[in-house]
Amino acid sequence: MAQTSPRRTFKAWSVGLVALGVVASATACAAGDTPESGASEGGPVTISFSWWGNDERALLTEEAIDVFEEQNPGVTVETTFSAIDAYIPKLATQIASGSQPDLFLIPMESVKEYTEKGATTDLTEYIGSEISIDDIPETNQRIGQIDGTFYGFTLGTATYGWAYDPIAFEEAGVDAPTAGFTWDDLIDAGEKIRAASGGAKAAITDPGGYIAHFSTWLVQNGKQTFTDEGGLGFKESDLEEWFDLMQELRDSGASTDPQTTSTLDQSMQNSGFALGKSAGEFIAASITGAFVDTIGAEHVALAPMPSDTDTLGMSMAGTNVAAVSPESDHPDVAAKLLNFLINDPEAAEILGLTRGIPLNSVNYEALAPTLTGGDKLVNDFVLEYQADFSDPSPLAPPGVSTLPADFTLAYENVIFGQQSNADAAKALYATFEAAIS
Amino acid sequence: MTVTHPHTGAPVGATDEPPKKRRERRDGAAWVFLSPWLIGAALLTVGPMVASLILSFTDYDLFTAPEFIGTDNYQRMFFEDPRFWKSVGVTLNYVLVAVPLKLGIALGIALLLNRPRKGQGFYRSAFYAPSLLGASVAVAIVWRTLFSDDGVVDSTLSVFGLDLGGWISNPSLALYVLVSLAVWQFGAPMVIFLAGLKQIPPELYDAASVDGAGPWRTFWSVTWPLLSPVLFFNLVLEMIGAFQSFTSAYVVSGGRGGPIDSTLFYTLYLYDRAFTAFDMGYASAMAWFLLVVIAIVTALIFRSSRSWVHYSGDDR
Repeated sequence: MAQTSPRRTFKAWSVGLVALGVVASATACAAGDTPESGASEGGPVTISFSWWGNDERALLTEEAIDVFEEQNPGVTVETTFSAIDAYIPKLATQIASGSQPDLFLIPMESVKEYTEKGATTDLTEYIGSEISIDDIPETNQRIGQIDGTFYGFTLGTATYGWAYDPIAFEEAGVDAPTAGFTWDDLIDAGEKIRAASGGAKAAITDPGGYIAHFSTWLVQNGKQTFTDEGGLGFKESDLEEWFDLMQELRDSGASTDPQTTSTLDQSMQNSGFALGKSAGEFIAASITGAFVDTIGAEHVALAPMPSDTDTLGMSMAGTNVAAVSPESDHPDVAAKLLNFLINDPEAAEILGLTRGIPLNSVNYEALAPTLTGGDKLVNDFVLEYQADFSDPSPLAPPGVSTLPADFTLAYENVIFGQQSNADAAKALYATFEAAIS
Repeated sequence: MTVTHPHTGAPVGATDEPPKKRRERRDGAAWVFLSPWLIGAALLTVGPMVASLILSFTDYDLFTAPEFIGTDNYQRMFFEDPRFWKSVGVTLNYVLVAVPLKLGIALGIALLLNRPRKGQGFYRSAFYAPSLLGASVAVAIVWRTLFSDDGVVDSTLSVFGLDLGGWISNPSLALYVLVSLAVWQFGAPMVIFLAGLKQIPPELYDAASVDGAGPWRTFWSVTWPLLSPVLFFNLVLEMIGAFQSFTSAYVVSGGRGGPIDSTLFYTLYLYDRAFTAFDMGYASAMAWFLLVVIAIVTALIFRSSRSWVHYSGDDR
């Protein structure tokens, strides 16, 4: 017998509809559980903040944020951080989905691009109220500006420099580098350091794959990576010359060998200098403190990068741009946090020079005499060579966010012998041109 | 006595209406119960698939509206992008090495574990455990550390005089780190092979030994034909999974498919185009090409199965 009575059918339908209703409400519940900050009428507020850096910088930042939370009861700041190489694709994904944190840092090459994509907020309405610019010099203000409008502020300025181990240099019988040290001097130093360490240590971590160091070399030779108008400031032959120079360093043993180089990156745990594979590394001076914490103050000193010309190629550039998300529920609170990080004297004291020289000139002047360790090293270095600094380069045009990775890949092709210097330069130059078109 | 319809009990020859109506009412309830899954399938699977197909003909960077550009993405993919073909090569290389190796080892171990021996239960669980962990991020990080410069593998091989250095920084060896990670998870197909082996009637083995067949002959004439449906199932599943492999490559190579693209899996390149270069249209085109390729390969395996897969009860 398989006859269904009307009653059974009705029961089946009603149970089915109830089941559907339960599923629907369950999904609605789950969706509603996203961390929504409290009502904007002044209830408890939660904002998110993310940055890149190592553990030491994270500790200092958390300490500063604790002070901010004390000053602003009811505000909680959720923080995340990661190493720069992991941070960049993560940020790209967050921006793609509109889920970037309320306050977040943008790497310099992506500032124009992300602003064009609408991932940042125009901060004009907060200037003068939540954000004060009274003690910030013009040059520093301009770092976060696009066409005169504020889209963010850098949390510190720094220059690229050469962190080296004075003890390793002394043991190898090499004079400590200063201004006037040429690339040939570096090759000589490399031979001596290799000899002194039984072939184990290079003079520097191979800098060839990093677009930032290529940019410094361009400035040394009177060129630049990008022009103010957003075009390329160099030619294909410059790229080939750079690869040739890097080859000289590799062949002479001054820089790390290809197999070692491909395991290294810009995080502290994979840094050639920190791991002892090289006696120095070209770095953004702002991470000098991190090296001091990792390998000890006696093993870290700063010098300008080698140069074959009178120009050192260094300039005080922004190390990042902190921006507010347009999707933020509390942009005013995020702006307040940004103001705290750049203007508050207590924050300046805690953070020191972990992200570079503070923007606020009053804070910097108060801080300078009290600096110790890595921070003092950086400050002394900046003061010593300030007069020889070049003007800061213009912000990179939109579309170039992937170029640093493309540059590293092209260089890897070269060092593993997959492509000649000329071919790689040609292909890479084409990539550059395609990116800015 | 009238003949009644087996389903509805209504007399056969009666009008069609009453049986249909009742079946519809019953079917209606079934539809309601199925609706959550159907809505999910439509909205979360079929819908996005169709959207992806449409997007593959556009230029879309997620922030501005998609711009229709016809087959430009496909043209660039096939004719102007050397990295695309590199990723295809790397993925094919991976599939053609990892899948047979994995299934071969799974079958071998299953044959060994088929005989009753001490500790059988323990070995089964031990070999199966890696499949449970899967190619998770944590395991991939451990694998990366194992195969790094001066890592466990390098140190062990150096003891035997094989100074290979870190595998993950060596363009010729980096892919084999991923192959080894895949092969390490042979436990899942092994368990399925074991189940298949247990279904082979022991009388056949007795008959074979009576006829004087050696172990190799027994394997080819008895075990292999009767195991072929299971092998077919495992082959299709593993092959599809291998083509879609992503996590292990992403973690072991640090997201870049390095060194020099030697671990640039197809899915990894797709992810890079989509979320680092914001080239969504191009990535959608890549996704559909992958779907077509997997479908073709699966169809080919199905086709070939007619010649080597024997289902019990068949005349073959």
